Amino acid sequence: MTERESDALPEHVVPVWEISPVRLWVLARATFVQLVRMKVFYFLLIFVALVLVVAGAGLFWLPTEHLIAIKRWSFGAMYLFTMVYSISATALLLPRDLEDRTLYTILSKPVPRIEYLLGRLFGVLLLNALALGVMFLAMCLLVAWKMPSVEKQLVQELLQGAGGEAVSLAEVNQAKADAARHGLSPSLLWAVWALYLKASVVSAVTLFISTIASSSLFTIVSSAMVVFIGHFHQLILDFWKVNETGWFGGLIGRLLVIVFPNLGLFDVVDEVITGTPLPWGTGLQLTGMGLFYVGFFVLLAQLVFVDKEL
Amino acid sequence: MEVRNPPDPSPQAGSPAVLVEHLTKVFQTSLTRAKVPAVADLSFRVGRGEVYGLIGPNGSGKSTTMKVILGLVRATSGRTEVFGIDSGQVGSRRDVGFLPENPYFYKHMSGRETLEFYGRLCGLRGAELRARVPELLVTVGLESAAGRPIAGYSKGMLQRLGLAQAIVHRPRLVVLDEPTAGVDPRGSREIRDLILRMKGDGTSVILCSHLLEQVQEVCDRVGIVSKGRMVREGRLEDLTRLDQQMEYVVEGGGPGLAGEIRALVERSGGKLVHSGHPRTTLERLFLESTGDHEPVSGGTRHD
Repeated sequence: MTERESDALPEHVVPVWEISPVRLWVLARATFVQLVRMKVFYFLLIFVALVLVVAGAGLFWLPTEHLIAIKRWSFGAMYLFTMVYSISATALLLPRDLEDRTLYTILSKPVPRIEYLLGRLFGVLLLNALALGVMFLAMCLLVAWKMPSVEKQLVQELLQGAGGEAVSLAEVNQAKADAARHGLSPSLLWAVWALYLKASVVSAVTLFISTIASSSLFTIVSSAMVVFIGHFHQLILDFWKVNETGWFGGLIGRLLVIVFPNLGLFDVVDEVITGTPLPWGTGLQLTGMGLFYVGFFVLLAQLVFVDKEL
Repeated sequence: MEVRNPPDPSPQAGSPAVLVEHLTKVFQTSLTRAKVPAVADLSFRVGRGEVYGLIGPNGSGKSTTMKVILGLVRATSGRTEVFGIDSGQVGSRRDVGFLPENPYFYKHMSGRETLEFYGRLCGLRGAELRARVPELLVTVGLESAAGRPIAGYSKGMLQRLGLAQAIVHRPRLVVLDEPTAGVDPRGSREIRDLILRMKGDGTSVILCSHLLEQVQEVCDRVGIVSKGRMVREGRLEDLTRLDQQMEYVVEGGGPGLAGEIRALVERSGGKLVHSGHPRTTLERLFLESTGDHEPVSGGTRHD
């Protein structure tokens, strides 16, 4: 029997007593590539086709409504994409790794379980960020492209409304300001950021459910239910406060409010696309809530997963 | 690039590659919480540079034992250490390679990407990783398929890739679960040779296999597990020796009584080449230890 020359660990081995950003990145990148190769970005083609159709259908709307329609349809498509992919992509990861036993080969390396969870989650978040970024950019380009014609239409309407009389410069500027208010604004960034935060929370919830569930299907159905209930958070809260629901009703109401994340918080798109600016304070508050929810559900996922028998 | 190990002043120096002491694992079913014992009071150790065969029938607790060693499952009681570190700690896995039975990998990756992925998880970077991956692909005979997606790999190719990922970071302990399952005879022989090379390099190996001939060829010691318990353990030459019998290998001589053979052979001009205890095969020993066959003597009985 030949002994190796010493008992020491190889030099190239990364210390494992702390989370390694490099390993996190390796796992996140693998997840991202995995999802990309599942051809998820085909949805972007559908998105582009959709917004082009809406952009070309200007005859059906008033000028400013046309801009709102482009933004509304774009944000609707973004919402659909992020929700569907946040749930389905995240739900596929852990159960499939477990079923295929890929998890054995990963966790038998010096990879702490929290790193595996975070790496997988970051991969999905990366996918959402890229997809949302591309869609948002496409929407902005389209709105910017439509802006001059909308301004022109508004000014023409102003002149027609004046019935041949002179129109003051202030009125023209007001018309342009109306167009600008419905065009691109910094609040749109907050809106897309809020959507991204909501998608991140949904991904974290799905990740947590997947640590308990044994199949992707169960994870997808449960996560969809959480998303559904999460949108009625405020409604449940109000109903519970206003109505005499009794101790049982009160208990159920409390449980629903505690267990399910308040996804309605992140619904700022409607205000923003109609030109209502979103204050920085609100944006930062949303960011804080989003990070809290993501952290909370990742923590729950880790608590379940750390002792899970594989 | 070879890895040079600096001297290790830690208290783990000198500890065996694997230490399993009184390991018991009881699973609980999720709904009824019924207790299902998988491993009961199992003890063994694998020395550094030793090739240890862990064999047993299906459901005997081998895989559970391996999972405990790899930290994938927690022991109900008992102690399991890898190079002196509790196997429940992530640190115990930094110098371990594992090939599961029928390994699956991410199908969207190619063979090369898979090895790079696992190499990076083990801390390999840059030039070292770039050099190590092609070297491994050649070692396991997958260089021509390196760029192809794994989805198109045969079972044998997956097995070879699994072996490559297990040793990508040159671990000091390699745990192999059925390493030749689905591999053709030539590939099987190559894997056997690779295990022997690892052994020559001082790497410790735990080998679980149903191919007892292969176990017999490469293992220094063997533990036979049945119903979660170690029923026989020892060095192969001890285990396979039949104490109650004597064997004579005679060249040019004829059969006769033991006491008269030497004289008889010499008288007849022949030569006594060897005398000693005859050996059984590991396969026979396995069947006797785990079934209803007549028991044989030799090795350490644990029942």
